[in-house]
Amino acid sequence: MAQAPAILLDNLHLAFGSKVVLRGANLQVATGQTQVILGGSGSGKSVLLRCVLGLLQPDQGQVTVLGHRPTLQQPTEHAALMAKCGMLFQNSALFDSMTVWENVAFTLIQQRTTLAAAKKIALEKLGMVGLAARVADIYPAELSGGMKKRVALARAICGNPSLVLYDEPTTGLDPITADVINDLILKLQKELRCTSVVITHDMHSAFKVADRIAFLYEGRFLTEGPVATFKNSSNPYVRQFVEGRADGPIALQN
Amino acid sequence: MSQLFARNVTLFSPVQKIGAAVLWLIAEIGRLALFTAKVGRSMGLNYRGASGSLSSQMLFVGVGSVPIVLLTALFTGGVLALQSYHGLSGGPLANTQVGRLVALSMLRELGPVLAGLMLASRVGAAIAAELGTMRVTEQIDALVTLATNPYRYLVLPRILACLFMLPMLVILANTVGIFGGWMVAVHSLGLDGSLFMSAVFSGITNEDLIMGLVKAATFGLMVGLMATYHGFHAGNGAAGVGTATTRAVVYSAVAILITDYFITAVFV
Repeated sequence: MAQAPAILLDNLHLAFGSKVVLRGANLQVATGQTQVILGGSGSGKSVLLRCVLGLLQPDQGQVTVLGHRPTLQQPTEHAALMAKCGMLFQNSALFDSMTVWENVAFTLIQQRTTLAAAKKIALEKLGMVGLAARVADIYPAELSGGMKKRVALARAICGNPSLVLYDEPTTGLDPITADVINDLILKLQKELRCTSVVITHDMHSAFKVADRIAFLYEGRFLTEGPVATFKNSSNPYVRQFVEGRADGPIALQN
Repeated sequence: MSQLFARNVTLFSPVQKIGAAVLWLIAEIGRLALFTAKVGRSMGLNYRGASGSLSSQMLFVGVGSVPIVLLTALFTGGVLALQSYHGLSGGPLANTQVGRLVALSMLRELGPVLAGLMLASRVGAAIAAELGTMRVTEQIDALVTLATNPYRYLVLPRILACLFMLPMLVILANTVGIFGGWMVAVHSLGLDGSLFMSAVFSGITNEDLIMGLVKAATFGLMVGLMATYHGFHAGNGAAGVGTATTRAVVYSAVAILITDYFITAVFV
């Protein structure tokens, strides 16, 4: 056993009232890997990510992230853990009352880094995601969806995190912008030497960025393994998803 | 499915409906208490943005509410003068009593209650809508993932601004309300202005003022808590923000009127 896994999900169960979302999800994400979690809409992907971040508590089972239990019950410990994580939200979740650079350098500004130094770091991070310095002083509302994603990504990596989580990073983007984001995920992975978890239903994106792929269906993982194994999996559920067919064992939810 | 259906059927029983409402109320009070505790526990933290936020919130809550609160107070004072003159049948007592009645009613009751209700509708709605929008666009979750405590960063400055600024507004409202009463007494009812003012000052005591300010601080706290609580826990989408805003205003108003009774009962 070389290194402790970056993320360990042990038998997670979670229900909202009568709606069961997670039914025994188990997953290990090794340090330094890019783990893609694939799943259809409503398979529990986003809920799983919220459990990893401690925004939700599972009813049963344990989450371990970088050796800690993420829980909002201990805000100080939780903040210390979050300082080591970066999260890219599906809708970017930029603070609309702040300019782009204030968004990127948010944590630095709150922790009283001088504003000049914070802005310098923000510009550097914007450069890393391929954005020019001239966007730094405008507000998020003036940006396109793809640019917002990149700003949000710059914000997520501002604290040089050892774990970066992506919630559907390419959803809602045109194919070219989506591929730019894929390239960024790969590039940041190399530069930050971090562990990445990408949640998506975009097969193209998954095959491009993943080291390993896990397939989430109805709240548990059906398969987990290297990309090549996944591509050639004979599991009928996986086959239907990979080939994108309407007919098969996965029925559309109604 | 059949189980769900059966549960819905039994919910039609009126006794169960009452029970469910009581349970909901108790749970809601519990959640509000937990929310307050989380805000209290976050006090030790300090962020640059949070202190800047306190001053800008005080500006918005306090200075921004001055016109509407003063307008309300001016006309309330005027109405009080008219009503008490009418109540005294315009007789000889009017000269010495109208000022006293206006001042007492403003200081003890109408100043804090009306300013509180104006604060609930103007500031409470704005706070709930702002935090609700931040909730549904995941900006509050983003704060958490950026290692920033949202209770300290977003909630506490807003509650403190309401708590500190409502008493200030009430002092202004009292003054302008008495002035409104004086205007009506002198220019419309033909009463003696100096007798009116001496009635004002002989009629009120420190205790009246303190009671009014205790009410104001309590109502400010109520509005701040209700607005941030409902905004912070807004449901999904635009409808969720709308519901949160409505609840913030309605529950603030109800809380103001109920606590008003109890504070009055303690002081009297």
